[in-house]
Order: sequence, then structure tokens, then C-alpha cells
Amino acid sequence: MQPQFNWLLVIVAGALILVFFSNFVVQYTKLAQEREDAKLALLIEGQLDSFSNNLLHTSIDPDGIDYFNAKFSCKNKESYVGIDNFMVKTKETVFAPDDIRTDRLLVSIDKFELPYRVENILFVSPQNIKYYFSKGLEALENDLPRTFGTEKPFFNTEILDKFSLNKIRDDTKKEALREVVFVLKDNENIAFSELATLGVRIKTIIIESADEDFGKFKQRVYEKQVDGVKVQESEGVWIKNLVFGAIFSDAYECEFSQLIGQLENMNKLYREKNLRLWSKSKTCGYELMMSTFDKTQQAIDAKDYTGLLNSAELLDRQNKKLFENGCVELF
Amino acid sequence: METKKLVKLGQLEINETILVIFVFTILVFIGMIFLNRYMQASIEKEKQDYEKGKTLALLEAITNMPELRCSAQGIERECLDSLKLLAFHENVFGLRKVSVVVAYPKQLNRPCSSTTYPACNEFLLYDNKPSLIIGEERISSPVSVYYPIDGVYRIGVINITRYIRG
Repeated sequence: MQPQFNWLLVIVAGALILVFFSNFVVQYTKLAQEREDAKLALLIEGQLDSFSNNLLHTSIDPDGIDYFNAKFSCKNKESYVGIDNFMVKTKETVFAPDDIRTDRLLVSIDKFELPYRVENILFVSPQNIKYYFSKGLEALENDLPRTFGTEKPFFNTEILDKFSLNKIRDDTKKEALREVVFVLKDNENIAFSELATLGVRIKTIIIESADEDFGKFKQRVYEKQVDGVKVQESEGVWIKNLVFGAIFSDAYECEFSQLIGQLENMNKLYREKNLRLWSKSKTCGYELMMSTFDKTQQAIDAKDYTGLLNSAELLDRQNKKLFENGCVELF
Repeated sequence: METKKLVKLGQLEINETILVIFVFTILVFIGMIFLNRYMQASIEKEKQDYEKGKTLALLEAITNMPELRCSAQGIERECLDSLKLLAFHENVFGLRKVSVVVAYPKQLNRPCSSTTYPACNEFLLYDNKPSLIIGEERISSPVSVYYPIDGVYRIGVINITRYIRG
């Protein structure tokens, strides 16, 4: 019995050691991967952070990495960027698709002004998401940046003269697209049944434009899943250049709230500055601006975005008047 | 006699193997503890490098924030508005202290508040010091500070102190 027992002991001990080492290797590889993800997420966050100081359009192309999975999310009015499960908070408002698999990220930075600069906002998208603008929305597409020194759109956009499933299928194959976004006019729609065969994520944005600076939109996302197609519908409002936020982002509502929160901070700050200037000069008309700042706050509280734009216009005029009257301007 | 001797020898060898495995496992454990410590230290170093880089980036970001930057006729200028510095109340810089000290012309050496402004020299924008710190790291940069009421520019220094938590 003794030799058999010894053999059994050696086998059990060997198996235990083998399991232990295999587990160690698996854990170590997982940890190393998580570390690489963290490094890349911090690199992207750092680059977005430094780009946000300038109004430019550029790309993030990490050295030595072919493809990576970038994630963007927004929770409780805070934006996050990450790689797989490692997410980092960014202080900027980033409008981006929530899940991107690409070799480089295209980034464009623009100002959000009402009428003073509230914040620089970032629009992020990869080359493998294509945005088709329907005919009649050329002006909107033209507001997006162009590649330096050319008329070529910086993002992967195109004006669609006529809807053709064959053309979209060809583009999807040729450009290895992962997602197709249709930006449509009010009352326009695309039958998803025609697009279902493309096998990529499809998003439609219907822009309802009341005027140049304010409008509503309806969003519909079609995602193919094992048990069929999942359709998500939502709607929202846009002001000024945030229409592009609605087009690029998958978490627009949260990012919009984030920006409105920042607008509220700026409104308070300028109100305080105005109060001090008013205490020094009673003849410049600062008291009128005081009331406009209060109206702005009321419009924010009531989610009255037309009222907000009217207040912004009024503030702009009042600020110009200060300059004309030889008084200290507010912004 | 011979069989007994062989069995004893075999048992001895098995015991020796178990002992070797045991010692080897202990060595592996010790190695793993060291590896773990090394990895923790290297992650901590990376974290510190990242925070250091963030502080540097913050220096550029702060001077570009619409909450602080001065402007006239809707056009922004390369300076900080002292009235905005006074009204700034945001909580966005992590474990840091951010202040702007007016260096020239010399001002009264006291913190700026709504009662002491403009006869003061230090605008404290933000201070979030943890209860236990093991070090501080400070970077500074000259800035131009604009006083809108008097229409004058003064030379200041923006200081960012990063607290290293213990």
C-alpha cells in the first residue's frame, strides 16, 4: 500500500501545484492586460484633456497598438473614457459613440457659447462609423470640419442624394464599417427592414429644426442581437452646435445636462462679477444685466431652451452696449 | 531484509521529493510576494507620474478656463480676470491647492475676498488637503492678472500644489 500512497501523494501535490501555477499565469496575464488597458485609457484621457484647450481637429493614434476598444459613457452629468472595463473620469464634455473599435480616434473641438464661452466640447468618432446626411442637410454637414487643406470631410460623412441600399452595402464592405448613422430631416424615415441585411449597428437621427439655433431630434438605434433586433428610441433637444452632440453621442441626454450644469456655473459667476461692477458704477445698466442673469437661471430651471437662447441674445446686446457707453464689459 | 531496506530507501526518496516540493513552494511564495510588491510599487510610480502629468496639464487648462480667463467684446485674452478669480467656486481639481498670487506691483500681503479686494495679493481658488499627506509637489507659472474696474494688468504667479496622500 505504501508505494501506491506515495504515488497518489505525488500526483495530487503535482496537480495542486499545476493548478496553482496555471491560475497564477491566468491572473498575471489578466492583470497585465488590465494594466495595459489602464495605460491606454489614461493616455487617451490625457490627450483629450490637452486637445480641449485648443479649437482643432486631430486624431488619437496610440503608438504600437493596431486596434483598441474605446468606451465612452456619461453618468450623473460626468463623462468617462476608458478601455474595456477601465474607465477614467474626464472633466471635458465628450460626445462620442459608447463603444468604439478602431485603430485611431478622430477628435474635433468646438466652443459652446451662450453668448460667452461655456466650455470647449469634444466630438469623437472613428473612421469606421459613417454618417449619411440626407439631401437638404448639406449646411449642417458643411459645419463639420474638413481635412486640412482639402474639402474632404474630416469625419466619415457623406451627403446622400438618394437612398440606395446597394450603395450603402458597398460602402459598408469597402470601408469595413461597424456602424451606419443616418441624419434625416423632419418627417423623413428609413425602413429598417431594408437595412437589416447590412449586419451592422444602425442609428437614425431625425432633426426637427424649429430655427437655426434650437430644435428637437428623435433617435432610433437598431442593434442586431442573438434573439432578433433590439430597437431603442429616444428624443431630445439641441441648442446651437449641440446638434452634432446628438449625432455623435450615444449618451447625449447626460452630456447635455452636464453642459447645462456648466452653463449654470458660468451664469452664477458672471452674475457675481456683474454685481461687483454694478456696485462701482450705477449708470452703466448693470442692473438690466442682473435681471437677464436671473431670467437665464429661470429658463435653465424651467428647461425653457428658447427662453435660454433669448436671454443669451439679450446678454450679448447688453454687453455690447456697455462697451458703446464706455463701461467695463462683462465678457 | 533486502526488501525492507529498499522500501525504506524509497520512502526516504519520496520524503526528500516532498521536502524539495515544499521548499520550492515556499520559494515561489516568497518570489510572488516580492513580485507583488514590485508590481504595486511600479503601479504606484505610474500613478504618481500620471498625477504629475495631470498637474502640468492643469496649469495650461486653468489659464484657458472660461471661468477664469479675461475677455472683452466677446474675445478672450491671454490673462486671468481678477473679478472671476474672486467669484470662482468650483470643485474640479482633486487633491490640490490652486492659488494666484499677485507679485508686481506689490499689493498688500493678504488673501483676496469680497471685502479685501482689490487691496490684496492672494486669490485662493481651490484647496482640498487630505488629512494625511506624505508630501507636496508645487509648480508655478507667471500669469497676467486683469483688474477690470481699474483697467490695469498686474503680474501674478499661478501656483498648483499637489498633495501626495499618505
